Amino acid sequence: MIEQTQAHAEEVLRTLAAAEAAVRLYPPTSQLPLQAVQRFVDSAASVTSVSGHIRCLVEPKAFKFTDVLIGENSALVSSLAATLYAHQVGQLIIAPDIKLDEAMTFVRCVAADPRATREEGGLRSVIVGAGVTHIAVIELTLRASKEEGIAGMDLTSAPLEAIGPEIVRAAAKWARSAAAGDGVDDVGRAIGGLETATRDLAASRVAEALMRLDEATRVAVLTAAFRGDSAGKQMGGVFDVVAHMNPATLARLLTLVAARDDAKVSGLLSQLRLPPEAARAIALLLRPSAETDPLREIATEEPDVDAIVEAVEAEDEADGDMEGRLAGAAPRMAASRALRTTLALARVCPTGDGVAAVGEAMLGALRCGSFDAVHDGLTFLEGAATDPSLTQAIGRARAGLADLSALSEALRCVRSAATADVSAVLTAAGAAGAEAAMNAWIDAEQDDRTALERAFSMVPEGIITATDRRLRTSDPFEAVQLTELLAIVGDRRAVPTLRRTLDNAFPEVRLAALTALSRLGRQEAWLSVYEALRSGDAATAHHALAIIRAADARGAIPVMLEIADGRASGNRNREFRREIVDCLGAMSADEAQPLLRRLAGKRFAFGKTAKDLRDAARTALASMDRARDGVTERGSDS
Amino acid sequence: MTDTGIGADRLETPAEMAAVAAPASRSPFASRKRLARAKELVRALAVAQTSAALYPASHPSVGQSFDELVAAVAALAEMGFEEVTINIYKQTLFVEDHVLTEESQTYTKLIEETLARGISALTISQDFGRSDAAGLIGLLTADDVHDIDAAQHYLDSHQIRAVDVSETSGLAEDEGRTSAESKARARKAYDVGVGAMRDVETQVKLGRVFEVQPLQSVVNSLLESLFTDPAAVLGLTAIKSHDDYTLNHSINVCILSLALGSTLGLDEESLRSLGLSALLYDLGKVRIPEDILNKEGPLTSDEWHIIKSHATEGADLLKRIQLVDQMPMIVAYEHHQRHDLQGYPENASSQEQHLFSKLVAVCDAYDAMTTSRPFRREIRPDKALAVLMQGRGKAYDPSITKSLVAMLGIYPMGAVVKLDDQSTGVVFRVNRDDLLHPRVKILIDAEGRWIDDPTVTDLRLVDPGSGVTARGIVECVPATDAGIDDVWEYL
Repeated sequence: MIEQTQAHAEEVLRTLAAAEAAVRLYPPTSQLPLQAVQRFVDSAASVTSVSGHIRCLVEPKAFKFTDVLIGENSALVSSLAATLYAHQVGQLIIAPDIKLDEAMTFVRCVAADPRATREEGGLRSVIVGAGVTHIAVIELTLRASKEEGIAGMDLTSAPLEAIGPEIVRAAAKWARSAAAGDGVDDVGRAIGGLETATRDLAASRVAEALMRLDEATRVAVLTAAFRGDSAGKQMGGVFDVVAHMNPATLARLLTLVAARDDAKVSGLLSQLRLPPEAARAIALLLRPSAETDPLREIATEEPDVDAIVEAVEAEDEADGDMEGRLAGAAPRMAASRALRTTLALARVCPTGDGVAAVGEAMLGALRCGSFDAVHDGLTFLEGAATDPSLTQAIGRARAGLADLSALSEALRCVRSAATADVSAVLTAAGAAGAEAAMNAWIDAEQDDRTALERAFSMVPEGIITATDRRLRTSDPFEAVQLTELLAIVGDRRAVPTLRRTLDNAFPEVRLAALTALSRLGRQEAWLSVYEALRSGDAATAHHALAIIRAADARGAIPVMLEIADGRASGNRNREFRREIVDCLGAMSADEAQPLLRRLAGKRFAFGKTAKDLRDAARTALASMDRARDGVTERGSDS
Repeated sequence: MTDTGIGADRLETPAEMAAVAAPASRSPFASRKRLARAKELVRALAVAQTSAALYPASHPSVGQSFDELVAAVAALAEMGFEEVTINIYKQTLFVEDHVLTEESQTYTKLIEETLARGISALTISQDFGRSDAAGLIGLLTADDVHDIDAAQHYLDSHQIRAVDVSETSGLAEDEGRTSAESKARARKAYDVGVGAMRDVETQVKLGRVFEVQPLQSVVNSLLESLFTDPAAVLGLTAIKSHDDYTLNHSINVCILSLALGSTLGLDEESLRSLGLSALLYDLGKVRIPEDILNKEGPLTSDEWHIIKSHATEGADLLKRIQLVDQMPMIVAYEHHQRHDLQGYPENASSQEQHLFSKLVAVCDAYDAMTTSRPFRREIRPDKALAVLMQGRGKAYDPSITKSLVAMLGIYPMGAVVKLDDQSTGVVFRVNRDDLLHPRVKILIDAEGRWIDDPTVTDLRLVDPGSGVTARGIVECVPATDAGIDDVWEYL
């Protein structure tokens, strides 16, 4: 901060030096000097408006600002310092609110011949005479002051320790003289005798000196200053000084003076001549508080600091869990809380903006897998839909959920979510939800699959549609999984898709579709399995038969009889017919007996396969007879 | 100090800050067990020195005392210390930065003999063995060692590698730690923050959307300063303004929250989010009429209802701003819900306040209490902390409140205190090992004279004569009552 102020001061001096050089070098008709002086005025105004006076000591070839030499490396500034030094100037003070006219006058005086200026009484006297009030110079002089006491001191540079006792003496003198009739205000005279630019500085330093005195003395000085003389005049010099104190310092001083004299502090304050801002700040500090501590339920007694320390150092149970609490407080994990907050806001005042915020927060919560919170959001939207003015906003909010990437992220956390919440979200997300769920199921581990499957049963249609679409482009591996998915969905609407899949180019897919159809457990699904017996693809037909046999699907018997009889259009090879005959036997299909007897009764069978078929029929019949006998025996036993 | 568990004096990272402020490890020797080991080290050293001075080297007592000294060092190594330093500063014994008041009185001979050899800091490393113990005690009893150079030469010549000696303890350096440069940098960040918040306030009042980026820059600057020099940043909270209360308050709460968050161990990403939340949590007040906000005297129930709406108003303003995350909205909504959920807005779901909301709530309460308002005066920092401690488990989270007090100290930086010699000063730094005895910059002497060049006094220091701390705090006083306007100036 100090370095910054130094830099600003240096800039002001640089512009002053440039102005002085311009005035010296250019003819009066030129505009350049005026422009240069204007730059100095602007620069000085910008600095002094923030940091107040600029006060520099003048060295032979540089300036000293807060003990730092500035300008020694700048020929321009160094030249200005040399010029002022030639004028026997020891200090240069630039006050706020400097005007262009006086700045021009000052620069012209500085640019003039120092010897001639000295003959006119010196630079200080010349500039004061010319009406310069916001720039002051303090000349180096070896002359002792003719004045005594505070009036004889250079208040801008005298040591504070020297000023302090003089104020005390001046206050005592005032008290004596005021009591006698006509008060003598040496402090006022000393400060008032200075040019405007240095008065503030001098008063500030006297205030500082006052602060170095003990408090009782300080109070005594101000008490004396408040005493009026016979004309009612008070010691304005001290008032000017205390006006330069910090508000809190002055407020305390006034309080002590009021207590000593049993006076009202507000009365004392009103007698001072303070800048409005300072007066307001002090008044604020002095006035009683509207809310007292007891009113705010704050104990009036002193706090038991030892007990506080003990409590702080004691280790509580709750302290140990901080690490877990910090981990749980990560902002990225607060999406569901954010959604609940926006919901709370929207419930208070359901507006389009509020609904939009809910929609945005729902998406955030979805990404974090907070299905329950998103479900809450959807419930809110459903409730808010009664307001026609919100229809569009609600539509947009719901549509926002159809974000594949967000849904995919969410479904990674499906294991910990409730099925109803997941289903609600997937339903709201529509096709995107189904697609995301399907993708998630394909990529998931078994536990996640189980969680997803619970949700699928609540949203079958979307999953079937998405799967149907995907099956058209899937590779065999994925297609097999998708058929399994359709089986899990367990909806009859999956049958057409699976039936179509029986025509898939890859045998493993066709077989998987058959298995899926059988797992659906629906009649129309079984019909497709039975029909597959007629498939031209031997593997498909065989797999269908295996499924039928394993499930003892008697509904297939008519188709099986047709094939076994060689009437079916597709599979006519005797090997498959033999398998069917085997199966019929194993199923003890009574309706197959006529056909089996016909096949078994053939006396002539040409070729091995024909013989095998006949033998198979005989075996089937024998097995059926045994089975029937067994049943009869068991029946007679019982 | 090199302690694998706990950072060095200068706290560079949130983890380090967390390590020093967690209740069990606020100071390396905050727990009784740890402190007992530190005390045992000093005791063992003093006993070994006395034994060696009284008995010949072959005497069993001498050997036993060396073993005890080695065991004491090993016990500290077990706690994670790679090395430990015994400091002597103004006749007071410290292990690391932890004052040992009683021992400073009991082991005066150890102090004198050590100082007589030009040594004021003894660093012992974890591989300290019996021969090192013999060497160290030999040094402390040697007649021909009178300065630090001779002491170091003694250690070298006896090949004692596990002991190091120095003539400055390092404690005195602490006072100047906050360089003018980092103080100025922190102040700049503060002022920029006030400006940025003013812009936000203006934009919101005009019904416009405000830019978030400048606020993020403010948080980043404060955070950077906090990591570099925590004291410089915490000191900024001593800046109070009557005119710009709302703006200054939000920056102060931001600083306190960031400091507390790093103390607790939040990661940097979370801290940035917390910082932004702490800047914006009270934004809803922009929508509250100023005559109600600043009303002197009791509020009517309607006015109180309006005041309470600032939480929902703030959240409403923030709900659609494109922030990094939605924590500012959450904190704005929840910061008055209280730990026991008895606050406002009503919490229908009984969901606990978010940790950030709890952090901001306690920092908000502290700064609000310690700042003067048109309708009430400020409360002294120690009293404000007492109020917070009383509110533990009710309005405030117990652990977080304790952490705040541990971080700020009973007499926080910037608190104006009256000492038992009637002088008045400003708390310059808090001593983490002794929350009741901070370092104080004396500004006004007992007679009320303002001191020209104030110096810092460590109130932990023990008076060798009485055996107790030389000076103590009688009471904390409001800065303005003491006539002090800008406390920050003195930090």
